[in-house]
Amino acid sequence: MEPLDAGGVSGAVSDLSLARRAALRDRDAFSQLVDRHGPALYRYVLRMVHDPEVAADCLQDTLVAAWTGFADFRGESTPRTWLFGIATRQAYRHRSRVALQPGPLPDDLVETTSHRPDQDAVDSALVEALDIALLGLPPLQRSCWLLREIEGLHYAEIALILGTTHDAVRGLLHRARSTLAETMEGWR
Amino acid sequence: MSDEAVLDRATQALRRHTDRGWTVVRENALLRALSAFRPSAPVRGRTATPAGAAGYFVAADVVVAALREGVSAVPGAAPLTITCSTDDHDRLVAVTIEIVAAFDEPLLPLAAAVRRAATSCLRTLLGDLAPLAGAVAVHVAITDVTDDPREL
Repeated sequence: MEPLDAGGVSGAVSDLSLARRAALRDRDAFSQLVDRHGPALYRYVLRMVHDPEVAADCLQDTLVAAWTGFADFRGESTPRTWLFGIATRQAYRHRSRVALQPGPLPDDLVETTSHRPDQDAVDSALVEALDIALLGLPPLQRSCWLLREIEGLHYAEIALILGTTHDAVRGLLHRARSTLAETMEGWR
Repeated sequence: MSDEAVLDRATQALRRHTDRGWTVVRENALLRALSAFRPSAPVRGRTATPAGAAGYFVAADVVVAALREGVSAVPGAAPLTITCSTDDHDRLVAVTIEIVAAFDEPLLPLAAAVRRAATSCLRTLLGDLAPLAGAVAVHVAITDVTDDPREL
């Protein structure tokens, strides 16, 4: 699977170029980067912390850390990976604020973008079912699965973000996939 | 559908999914980020006023942002990094500007144009009495060349 937007949007200024400009205090460049990756970052942190308010705080802290820290961005990873690394650290920091037991899903988790009504209904239900299944994963597996399967990051990038090894990422993903498939078997 | 097929379809649906919350939090989160305070070294400025010479300080971040704008206005060049060095009295002593140049652009005139733009910027920002001419070294390093106009 190819990473989503890893090098920037086709036909637009690359992420790396925007990151360099943001490091030189270019607000427009930073805003463009945020608009490019913000929806995915929010989708990710929301599923890590389960709570829209906490996710909003988490995202805000991620953006503050990115804006104040871009001068230290050395380009050793893609800006997208770097942003997800910050978001992951923030999600783990904020996670202690939320209940560990699965509760009712916030409305936010099941709102989808517009598609055909029939497809929309099925997709919406599937996303809801997947969100419930994700709640059952340990945080590290969930983080790993979301970064790989939803955000399209490579194993090496995920290993860098989670501070683990390529093989550990492979193992975490395998266990996450098995658990998710099993949890969703009622959908067959 | 098999378990794997269900999971695959749900995964694809989630990839297409945009949470409503993003549109709610975007503006505030971005504003808070852009207004976040970032400690920055001071750079001493000095200008003439009717009451005589006046000194002031400008954050190095502001100097860098102004230099970025100035250098970005030079056709065929875009800044990659900008580093300012000050002495023990916070006086600017050197600026190093690393740029990417447009492919086929004559490099020496380009570097000269970047240096002129930077010097002009510094004079505007740090005042006409700041010791710029000769005292502040403006180094220009061309470390990349591109034929992609979007990168400039």
